Amino acid sequence: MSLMKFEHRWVEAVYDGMFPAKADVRIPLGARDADMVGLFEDARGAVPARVALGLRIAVWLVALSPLFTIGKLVTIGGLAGADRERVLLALLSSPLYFVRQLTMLLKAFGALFFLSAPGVREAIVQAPKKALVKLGMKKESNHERSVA
Amino acid sequence: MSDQSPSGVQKKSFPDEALPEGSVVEGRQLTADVDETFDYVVVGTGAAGAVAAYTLQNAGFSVAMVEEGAWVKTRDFTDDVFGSFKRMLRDAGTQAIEGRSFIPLLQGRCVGGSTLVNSAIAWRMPEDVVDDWTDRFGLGSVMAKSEITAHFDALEEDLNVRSVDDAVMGHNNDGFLEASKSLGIESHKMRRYDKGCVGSGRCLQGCPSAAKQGMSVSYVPWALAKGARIFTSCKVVRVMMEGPRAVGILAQTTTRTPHAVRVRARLGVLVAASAIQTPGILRRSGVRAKALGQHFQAHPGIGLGGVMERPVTMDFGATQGAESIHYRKTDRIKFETISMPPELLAARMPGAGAALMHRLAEYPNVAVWGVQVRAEARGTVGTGWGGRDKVNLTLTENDVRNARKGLVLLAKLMFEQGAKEVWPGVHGLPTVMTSPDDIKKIEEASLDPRAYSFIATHLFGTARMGVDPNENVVGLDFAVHGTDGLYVVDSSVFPTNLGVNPQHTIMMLSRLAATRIAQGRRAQRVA
Repeated sequence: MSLMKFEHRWVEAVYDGMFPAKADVRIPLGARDADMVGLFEDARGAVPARVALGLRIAVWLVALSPLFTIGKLVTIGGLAGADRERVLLALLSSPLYFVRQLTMLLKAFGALFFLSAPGVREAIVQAPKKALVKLGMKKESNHERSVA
Repeated sequence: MSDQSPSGVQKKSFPDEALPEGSVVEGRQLTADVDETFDYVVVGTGAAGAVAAYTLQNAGFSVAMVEEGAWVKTRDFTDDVFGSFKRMLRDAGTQAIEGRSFIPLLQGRCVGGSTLVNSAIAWRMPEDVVDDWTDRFGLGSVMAKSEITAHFDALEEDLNVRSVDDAVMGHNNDGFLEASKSLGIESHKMRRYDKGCVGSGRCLQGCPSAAKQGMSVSYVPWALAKGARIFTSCKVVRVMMEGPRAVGILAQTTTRTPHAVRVRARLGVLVAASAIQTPGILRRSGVRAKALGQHFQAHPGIGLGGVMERPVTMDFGATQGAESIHYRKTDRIKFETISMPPELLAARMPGAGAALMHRLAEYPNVAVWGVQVRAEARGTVGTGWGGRDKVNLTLTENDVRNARKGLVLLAKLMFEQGAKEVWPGVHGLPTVMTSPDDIKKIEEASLDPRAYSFIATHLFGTARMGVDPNENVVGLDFAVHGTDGLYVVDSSVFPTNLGVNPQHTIMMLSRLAATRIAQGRRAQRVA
């Protein structure tokens, strides 16, 4: 079953906190530039039902956790970027195993989605590839030639 | 003539193309039930199944292979990690071992099985394991060293086993060798099934140049070329039995409206569906051995990441190219390099938000080395909710202690190699360590397995081999005790784990089993 609209907004907020744009000049893109909700729903459809349920529970857990992690009575969507990051860091280092695991599950899937967005992977790995081409250690692709 | 694809790889014909007409029956395209007969049916096309099928077909028998997954062709491989996982891994890579902690479990589910998504590491079975199986489990008649050696020799010739070429080592692998040499830890380049690796760093997503000799570009097409057939996207429901005799398999296509696929076997059925799926197939076929699904073992592993002063560029070079068994006998651990794509590495990077983005931007300088534990723990594989395979294993304190020692040593190696920061990835410790002085904190880390992020890939023992039917599932002739013509030829039969990568031993035992089955049948014919 697809997530509700408010859950979609939570997904966006969680991943915006996890992968914010312009946090590093070398990666100008952030989760907002990727279709994280679409990819999230696609993934939920591709995994077994209990993993899909786990992903949904994880979204609820993170969305409703600001009160317990940073003492603010709002959902993750109501927080600014820095506070979202604080919430996520608190959950990832929680003393409760299932809390850590569910947050890690979201992070792992988020990384798969975010890095698959156009331009993101290239921003991270293209520079060394070019260096290797120059050294003759890697073939230059047609795409890379045309971009150059 | 230069004809290049967008990835820069010159277009050429791959071994998984131009297969004999009619040799592949794709279950998803069937419009009616199927009923066919062969001499032997082989369930599974991974390291064990593909080798067994080829060996039997080559010996003059007619063979059908039945594979639950689809055939993902070399030309269709992409570097999109999740897309690859969806197409090639069971449950899109979300399977997990349950116990005190969850351990992700990666298994291929496609033609070629896990050989499509592993790093093609070839390790001959260690002599101490041969001796152990002979002495403790009475497998001396299976473990004749001269016979084992002959099978390994043949496999290595077929699959071109060789050390990683210097040109494609890459800095992640070279760095490990340099660091271990500095600290006096014996290490070396890996030997792999390799016919021209170009260092694309994409072993985990499927080799785009078919240099990696996975089963879908080697033994499966070779078996088809000799007349075998393969039924893909067909999940085996059960082995059809007539009394104690295996007479074929009943499968269903993996489509919304499944068709029945009956593949009858005149002479026998060989199950090679992995240590996780084989017990379920045998159970559904009426096998009631007490040891079925018991004695499950694995090699859980953990990766250690670090940011180096110099570029590492893990996207170039052999995905896994260097290793060490220096501590295998003393501490049951083995070190391996593993170049991870950023999609997978990001989950292991410390932090979230801005800190995570800064680390992602450092990807070109990140190295990842791992420790694999020859775990003492034994678990079970049973049937869970909805008929799914349920895998249970809790690591012992000793297993975790060994893993922790491995992390300590890897952290030392990383700093030796000039790491600016190291990520231990252990709950309760700082997420980032910036000085060798911090390493003592790892030495004092918790021994609770929930504090660590293990992953499991090597799986053994759930239909183990042995003389006594009360304690084992399979006899020394690879036949399930109390049955006729029902064989198991995958790592389910291993009485213990190995402490080295098992694909080579799996293929060796499968080849040995199929050779003996063929010889036995020929002898019967002559008689």
